Amino acid sequence: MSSRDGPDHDRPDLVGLLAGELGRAETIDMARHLKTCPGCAEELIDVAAANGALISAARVGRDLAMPGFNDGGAGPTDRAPGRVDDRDALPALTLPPKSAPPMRPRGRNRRRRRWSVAAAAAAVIVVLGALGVTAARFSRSSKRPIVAQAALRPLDATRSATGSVTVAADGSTRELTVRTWDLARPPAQSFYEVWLLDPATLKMLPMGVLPPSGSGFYAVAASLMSGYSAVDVSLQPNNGNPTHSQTSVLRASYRATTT
Amino acid sequence: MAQRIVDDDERALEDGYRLYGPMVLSYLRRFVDADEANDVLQVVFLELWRSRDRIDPTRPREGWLFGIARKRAIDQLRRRRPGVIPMDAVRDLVGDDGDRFVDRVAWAAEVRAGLDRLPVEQQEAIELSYFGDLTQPEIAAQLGIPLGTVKARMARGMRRLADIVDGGDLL
Repeated sequence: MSSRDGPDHDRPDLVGLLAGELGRAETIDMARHLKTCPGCAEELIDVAAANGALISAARVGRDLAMPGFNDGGAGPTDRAPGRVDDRDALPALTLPPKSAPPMRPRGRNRRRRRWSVAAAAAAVIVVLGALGVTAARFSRSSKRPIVAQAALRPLDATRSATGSVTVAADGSTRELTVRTWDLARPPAQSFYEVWLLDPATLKMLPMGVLPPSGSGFYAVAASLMSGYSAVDVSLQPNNGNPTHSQTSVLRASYRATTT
Repeated sequence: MAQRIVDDDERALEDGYRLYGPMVLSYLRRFVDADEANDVLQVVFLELWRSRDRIDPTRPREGWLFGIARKRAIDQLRRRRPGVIPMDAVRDLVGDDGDRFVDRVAWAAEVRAGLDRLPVEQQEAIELSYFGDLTQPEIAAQLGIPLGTVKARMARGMRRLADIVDGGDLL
C-alpha cells in the first residue's frame, strides 16, 4: 500500500481522527493538512481500511459471540452466552491416515462424496494428538491469573520474527505460554528451545523444545522462576548437547512479579 | 499456512484448527446445537484437509473455510424434521442473506487472524480500542503507558494490519 517512509513531519493522529477522539480545532487542522499532504493522505487510506475492517469484524464477532472479538476491556460478565471462549472448547481434531488421498474435484457422484456427519463423528472419537494436548494446556493457562506478559523481540534486528510470553499463576506453579510469529523454520537437524534467563548472571534454565507450530506451554515451580526475569528462544543443533547453543533468536524481559 | 496444508503438513491443519476452529464453532452454533456443531466442525476441517489439492495458497482461505461450514450446517439442518428447524437461524444460512453473512464472518475471521500476526503490544492496543471500546487515553491509563506510545502502537499496527489483509496472506 503506501510508502512506509512516512511524512517528514510528526505523524498526525489518524487513528484518533477516525475514532472521533479529536476536538473541533484538531479535526479542522488535520482536514486542512490532509488536503495538502499527499503522504498523510495516502496513509489515511491504510488506516481507514484497517479501521473499517476492525469495525466490521468487531460487529460480527459480537453478533456471533466469536472468541477473540470482545475480550478487550470486557470482563467475564460481559461475555455473550454460548460463546466459545477459547481454543480449549474445541474437540480434538483427528485426521484420516496420511496415506488417504486428497479429495478429487467435485464431480458427478456428489452424493458419494458428501461427508456423513455420523461417519465423521465416529471417525473422530479417538482423541489424540499434539493438538488436543496443546489445546488442553492452553485452556488451563487461559483461565488463570496472568502475572506477567512481555513481547518477544528478535535479537537480530534484520529478522522479522516476534512473539509473546505470558505467565499465569496456578498456586505454586507458573505456567509459561510462548507464542511466536514469523519464526523461520529451523534448518535441518536443528530446533528452537525455550529458556528462562537471568540477564544479570546469565544463568539459564531450559524449559523445553518449542513445537513446530511456534507456540509452546511450559510449567515451572514459582520458586524456580523467581530467579529469572527473561525468556530466551535459541536455535539448537540436534547434536545431543543439552547446553545453550549461544544462538539466541528471540528474547523477552518480563516484570519480576511472577512469584 | 495454506502452502503447508497443500504440502501435506498435518501440523499446518492443526494450526489452522486452533486459529479458526473457535470462530467456525461459534458460527456453527448459531444454527445447530452444541453437540451437532462439534460434529460439523470436525467435518469442515476434515473436508478442508481432504480437498487440500484444490487449495490456492496465494488466496485467502477464510471464505472457503466458512463456505464449507455453511454448507455442512445446511446438511445438518436438512437431517432434522421440518418442525425443529429454527427458521430465524436459517435466514442467516441460506440464500443471498446466507452468502452475505458468511462473507462477513469470513472477513471477520481474516481480520482477527491478521491481528494475531501483529506484535503483541500493537495487537493489545488495537483490541482494547476496537473490541474493548476504549479511547486512546483510556488505553494509556489501563496499560500505564504514555498516550503517545499508545498512538504510535496503534498507528503502526493499523498500517501493518492494512498490509496484511491487503496481501491476503493469512491461512
